[in-house]
Formats: sequence, C-alpha cells, structure tokens
Amino acid sequence: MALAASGNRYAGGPSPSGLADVLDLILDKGLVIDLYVRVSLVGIELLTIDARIVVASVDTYLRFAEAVGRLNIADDDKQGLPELMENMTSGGAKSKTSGALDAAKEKIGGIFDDDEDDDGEKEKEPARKERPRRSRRREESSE
Amino acid sequence: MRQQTDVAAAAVAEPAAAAVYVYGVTRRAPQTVRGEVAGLSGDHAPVRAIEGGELTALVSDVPADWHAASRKDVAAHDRVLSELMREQTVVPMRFGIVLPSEVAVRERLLQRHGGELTALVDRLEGCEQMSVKAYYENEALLRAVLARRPELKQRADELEKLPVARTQRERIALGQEVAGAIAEQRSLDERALVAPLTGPVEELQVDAGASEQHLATVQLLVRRERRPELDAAVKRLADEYSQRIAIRYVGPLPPYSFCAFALEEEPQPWA
Repeated sequence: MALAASGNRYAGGPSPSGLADVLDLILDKGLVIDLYVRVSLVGIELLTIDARIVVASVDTYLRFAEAVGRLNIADDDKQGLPELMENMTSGGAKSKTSGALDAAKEKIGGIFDDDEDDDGEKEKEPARKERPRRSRRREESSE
Repeated sequence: MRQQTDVAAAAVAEPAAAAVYVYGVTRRAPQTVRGEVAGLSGDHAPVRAIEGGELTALVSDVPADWHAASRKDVAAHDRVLSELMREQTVVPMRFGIVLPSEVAVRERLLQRHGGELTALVDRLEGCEQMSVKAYYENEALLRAVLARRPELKQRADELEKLPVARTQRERIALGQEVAGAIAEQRSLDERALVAPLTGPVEELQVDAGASEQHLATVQLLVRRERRPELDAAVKRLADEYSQRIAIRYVGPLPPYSFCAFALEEEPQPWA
C-alpha cells in the first residue's frame, strides 16, 4: 500500500532510531545523580530551555484567532494549506507561530552546527500525506 | 549564527585529567567494554568499566580539551549505550554526567546508591524501550474536531460576514472554544493510541506532543519476548488510523524514559 512506500512511515516493524528520534530522551531522561553533576552541560541546558520558552510564549490571542480562521479550510479541498494560510485575514498568526518555532529549532540546531560529521539527520516526522485521495502517488519530496 | 561560542563560554567545567564521563550502570562488566567500544572522543577514550560492590559503571575518560557538548558527543552517548544494551541490561544515565574521579564513581554512585541501582537493574532486566510517535496527517485534527462539533464551523461562517472590529470578542470566544475542542479531540486520540499498547508492556509513559501536528509519543518498556505482541499491536494501530494519523515506531532504545530521575534531590557539592 501507498503508506509503506514512504521511508518515515510505519512499514511493518520498528525502525532503528536516529539521533533526532532520541535527542530529547538523551538530554531529558535517563538517570541523574543530581543536577550539580551535570555541570558540564550548562550551555546546552540553557539553550534547550530558552527554545522552549520561545515556543510557549507565542501570543495566546493570535493562536485563537488563527484557530477561527482555520475553520474555513476544513471543507475546502481545492486549496492547499499554505495558500489558505496566506489568504487568511489572521494569517499573521500562523506565520508568527511558525516563525517562533523555526527560530527555536534553529537555536537548537545551532548547538550541533560545528560538527563535521553531518549525516544529515533531521527531525523524522513522517512525511505529510496529501489529502486522502487513493489514486494519487505520495511523494516525500512534495513538500 | 553560531551558538557554539556561547555554549563554550557558558560551560564552566574544566575537567581534570582524572574526570570520567558516565554512560550507565550494569550489573557486571560486559564483554564488549574490553576496549572495543569507542567513547566520547572515539578511540582515544574507549569505554571501560569501574566495579564497585555488585555493580559496574561504564565510563570513559573525559578528553582534556572537552568543554561543551556537541552533536557528536550526544550521538556517542547513545551509541555506547545501544551497543552495551545488546549484551545486558543497562541503566542509562542522562547525557552529560561527569564525575571528578574513579573513586567518586565507586563511592558516590555505585556504593552510596547501590540499593536503588540494583532495584533499577532488576526492574529493567530483560526489557527494552520502544517508542511510538504519532503525528496527525494534514489537518486531520481539525477535520475530526469539525466532525464532532459542526456548529463551530457554522458560527465561524457567520462571524466571517461581520466586520472584524465589531466582532472581536466573539471571535476570541469562538477561538477559545475551538482550542478547547482541539484539546478534547487530542485527548480522545491519545487514549485511542495508548489503550491497545498497554497489554504487552511492563510500563508506559506518554510524552505530550511537541507541536500541533505531533499528537504524542508513547514510551513503552517491553519484555524482549513480548516484542512480537507489541509489534503486532502497533501495526494494527497504524493500519486502523492510517487515514488520520501517521505512526513512527522506533527502537529498541536504552530505557532512558524509565530511569528519568535524580538519585539525590539536593545538590551536594563534591569538589
């Protein structure tokens, strides 16, 4: 079936983990003696926390306004999401939100930027599926 | 935009030559530690074992010029633990645990916390962590909300015809209701996701979604011999919800999520 063709999707069994899959576990979970012992990690801690605050502090009203605007797209299959976002009167909400998220990601990404062993790992969200239309081929590169 | 300089500046550790980085704790020294697992800085700091009482800590020397964590170090931490867990049960430390000396590892970790660590190894014996990540497909969340609450869409349509300036309060109120309905739908979906996974596992944790598209990640502690049952349950789940929710199933992992606590509540300077 079509879903199995996509690499990041469930394909009949578990996938080996990439660094992106386990990064938050390695940094946030696991056994600690106490936080003092984690002293060498001060830099990374600050950046992680910082990034979370940026994401969390996106203005509440803008989020609500955005939600209202998005109600219009649910029965409209002709337009793709990005065009609708641009057309919305409250479109600023979405761009501000994703802007903040991108900034946060960039920040986290920056920690690892210096490394030469760039194996190109990205957050492995499963590739977005197009709207359910059986005949259509799903290409990962469509985004 | 380079963050690395800031990271380096913020890192206060100046590890002495004797300092050791701790990956995890096992019951006895695994065969593979005999110089075959490369540690933090590759072959220069192979993983070695420090024994104390009935337990073994897996460590490597902290490279003299090691100031701050990089992606490579984080990957090394996971690689070492993943290799070791193939051989026996490992209690994984969080990334970045550095103790000042071998003696500190023995006394401060293995001896002082021997009881807790032994209990933890027992609890994890024969188990591995698996991870089920669930993501909404394009707008699947909003579609589900509208299917359950069609009146929200009607009210939005009516508001759309009125000037924004005069209906701001109504728009915010509706927005709040939509946000509430979305939260409700997420928790319904989360329950539907978790319920079929509880059977085959010893323990289970739900990590809340990190974005609107990310429904949740379920961390599962499963006995190795029950993995086929879990795999089958995940497959059924993925098939059943394939129109709405994409599943990414990852593992086996060192059981990070099931060792996520501090042995000592109060920081106790040891220097």
